[in-house]
Amino acid sequence: MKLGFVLERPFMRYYSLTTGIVLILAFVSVLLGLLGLLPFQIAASFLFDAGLVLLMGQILLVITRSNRKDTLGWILGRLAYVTLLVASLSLLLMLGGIFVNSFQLLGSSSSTVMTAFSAVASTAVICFGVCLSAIGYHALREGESWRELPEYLSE
Amino acid sequence: MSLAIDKGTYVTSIRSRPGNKQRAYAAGHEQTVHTFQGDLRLKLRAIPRYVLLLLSYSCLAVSVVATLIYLFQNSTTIGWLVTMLYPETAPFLSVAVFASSVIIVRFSFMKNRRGVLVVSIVCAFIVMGTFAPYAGIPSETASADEQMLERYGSAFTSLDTSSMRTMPYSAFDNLYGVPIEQSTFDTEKDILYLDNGVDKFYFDWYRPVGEGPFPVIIAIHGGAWVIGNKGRGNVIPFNEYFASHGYAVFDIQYGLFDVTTLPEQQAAVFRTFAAIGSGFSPNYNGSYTIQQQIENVGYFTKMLELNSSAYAADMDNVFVVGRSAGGHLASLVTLGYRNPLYAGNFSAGMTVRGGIWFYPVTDLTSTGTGNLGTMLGGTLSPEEESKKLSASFLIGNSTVTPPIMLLHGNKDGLADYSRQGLAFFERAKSLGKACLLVTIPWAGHAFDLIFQSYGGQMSTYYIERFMALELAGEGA
Repeated sequence: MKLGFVLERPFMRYYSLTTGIVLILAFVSVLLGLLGLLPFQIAASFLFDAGLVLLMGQILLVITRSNRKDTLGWILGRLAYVTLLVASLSLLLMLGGIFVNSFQLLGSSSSTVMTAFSAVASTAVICFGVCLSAIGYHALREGESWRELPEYLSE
Repeated sequence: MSLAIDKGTYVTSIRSRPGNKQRAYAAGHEQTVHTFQGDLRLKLRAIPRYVLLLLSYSCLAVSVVATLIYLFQNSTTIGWLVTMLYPETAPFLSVAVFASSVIIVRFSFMKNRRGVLVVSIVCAFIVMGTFAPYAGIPSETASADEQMLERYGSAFTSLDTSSMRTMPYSAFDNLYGVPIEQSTFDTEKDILYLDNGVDKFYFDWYRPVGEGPFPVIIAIHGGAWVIGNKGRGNVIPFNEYFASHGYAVFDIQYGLFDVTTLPEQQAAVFRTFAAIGSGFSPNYNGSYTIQQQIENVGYFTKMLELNSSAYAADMDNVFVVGRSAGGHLASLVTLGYRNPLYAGNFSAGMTVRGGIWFYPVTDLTSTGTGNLGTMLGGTLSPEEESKKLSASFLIGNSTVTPPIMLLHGNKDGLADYSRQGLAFFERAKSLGKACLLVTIPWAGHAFDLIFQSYGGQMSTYYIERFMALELAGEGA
């Protein structure tokens, strides 16, 4: 089965758009969910997880296709790596917060710290993800920012 | 011929031959000439890349090993240690695994199709191992619901759950915590309840706001009878959650057995525990056998009965909750408090409305756990003593058997799921006793240490319904 189409521009445009929209909706749902609104909590659960998976795909696409010889392509490539780093660190921060809360490492303020860690972490990963997908979407109009398909995919 | 080499430059090919610089002819040579500074800069720039690669390979290797141990080796010592935290923490680490794979592919195998494929398969394997437990939640939830319906019938479906958790698992709560209303309870810590001249034993009291009396939860910590403590060692958020829902929670110490007094052969496993958890345990002067530990727990119930009004404790509605070794002690309270074998051990005035045993040891006989020898204590022969201290024996021997809720992870290799959890459940059912088994999918021992994890959430969801229904007199 040929999978080269996922690296074609039309698909990448829709993909970037979808990633951005899902992440923005996740952000809004998380905010409303933190207010205690159950439907938004349920929505946030799905949207955050889906957004994270889509974001990983977006990062892969950008790393594979961005043209590092072009300024915008170079920026996109670096942004993809930074987003990957931010996503990894954000989830580690969340995990740290969970441990703080579970073992009450900071006494009575442990749960507040955990919520703050999670909020900061999810905001960071969503913001970087939205930026990456938005710039990626924009850059798809720029001819120089993207490389040709790898040989084994364009065959 | 003059050497037309600028200051600070040299020919690459003769770097390995010190003293030969003078023989280098720059002009007309086909070899590449680099500036010395440029070369050094390149080398320096390569260092972070190699460090990053090393970290990425290490991350991937550790993740592969952890996943393999989790999936296939959960009964070994390292296995149950890994399984204890893997399902709860791995999803958060999966992005780091993904990042490591991307970096490895980018810097090692970008042009190598086979290399990309291998790294991708390894990454996919780890991620699948990470999320496998979550796929098992719906089926285990359905099984638990079925048991609740069988015992409580329509009372289970018509129960007022407005103040309870709305679903067995919420990913949102996993990220942001299970909400606990801190203003609805007070906490008083380190209250002395027993001074035996050698050691002092304390408990923490989580008191709901209001007049009371409140239904009681006696929480008994785990630690293989040799380590552990109340407080941080006994899932504080669990105690707070139920205190905020109107239960007076008593989190107690009960004494620990000193592993240095064990013979070498028996000590191996328990010394592993001691090495892990001695820093979290109280420094008792004495060593307490399991028999003495249950006597201390019994003493607490008597003290609570005497002071029930001071502690706003409703002794007619007592639930006993324990984890691991604490689950074992909770099983002895549940099944032994009206049993002649334990005459005089427990409060005579209390009524246990339910036993809630997290990943307990239910069979202390030699077939269940091996010979525990001097750890058992007591005056009976080891065989009789191990029977007296086993829920699997007491369930068939007791006339009063309060309803039991067992919560066990089906990858528990320490208090083995099949031999300790499932076997007891089947025995209780065959005897016609009220027993519910909530299986936490793909979870190991101590699955609820992280209270907001799926194990903690699932167990809380069923425990609060179980207690509410038993208090309402349903299922009797």
